[in-house]
Amino acid sequence: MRVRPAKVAVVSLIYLCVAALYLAFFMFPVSPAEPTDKFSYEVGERTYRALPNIHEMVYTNGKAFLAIATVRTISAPNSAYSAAFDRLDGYAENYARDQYGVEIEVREESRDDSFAFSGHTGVKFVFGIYKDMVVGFPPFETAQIVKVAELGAIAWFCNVDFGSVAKLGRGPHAAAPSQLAPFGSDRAPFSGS
Amino acid sequence: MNTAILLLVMTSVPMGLYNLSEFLRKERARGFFGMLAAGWSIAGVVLMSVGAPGLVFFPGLLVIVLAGSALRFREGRTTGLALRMLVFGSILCTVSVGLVLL
Repeated sequence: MRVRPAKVAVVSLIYLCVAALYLAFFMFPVSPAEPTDKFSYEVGERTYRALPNIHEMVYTNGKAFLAIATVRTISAPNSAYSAAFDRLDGYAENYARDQYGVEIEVREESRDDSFAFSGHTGVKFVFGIYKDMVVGFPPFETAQIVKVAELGAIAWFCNVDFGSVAKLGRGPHAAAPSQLAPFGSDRAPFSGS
Repeated sequence: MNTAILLLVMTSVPMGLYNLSEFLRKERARGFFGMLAAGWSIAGVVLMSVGAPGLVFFPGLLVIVLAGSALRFREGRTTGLALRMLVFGSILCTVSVGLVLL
């Protein structure tokens, strides 16, 4: 088969053009999703990642925290998004570390990939928060690793207009769904622009 | 239609235009199925943005590519086309099974 250099060049240029358009799509800033209730207040906001564009907002209503990550994605089934939650690179662990200080150790103690919550199939994590503590008096003190807290996190995804809304509800001692219910909307408002 | 969706729609345009040029240069089967695939992708993005279920569009695209390859394979049997059909057929089977499981 004869290879025509001009044709190879044109096809390569087209593929480059397509790749550039996909890059532009994934980098295009998302419109951050917000909780529907007006009783929560915002405690943090940042761009979590530029490619794909992920915007993170953290809210609290005094009982539990709600982190909403709006992710630029192409459509996929909900279960695939739950499986893709790991791509947030230890997001919950990092959050717990930020909340409790740098000296603590965060251990994932259990994980349920098909946790039914508010009409969604989410991923439920329970993290143990451990801290090195010195017990006893000199010269008989001993260093022990003590579990000081337990953190529950439930994450699920909504798929709206080529953006995904990953919601991560957190509360002490594996927050019950009722604790997070005040935030609960099946689909967070998301304009996807 | 917002900018992000417009960008996603535009990803199919260069390949559609290339296949239009192929079609006009007497490469009828290649050009036609290429344009059909590009049109299908554009329709998929637009329809999904107004609420159509997205699960049918990717398998549909694979079916179009497979049909185009099969037609060209009938005209002139080449190893490249056979290999292409095998690869796209395997992806289609995997995706279909995956969609059922998910």
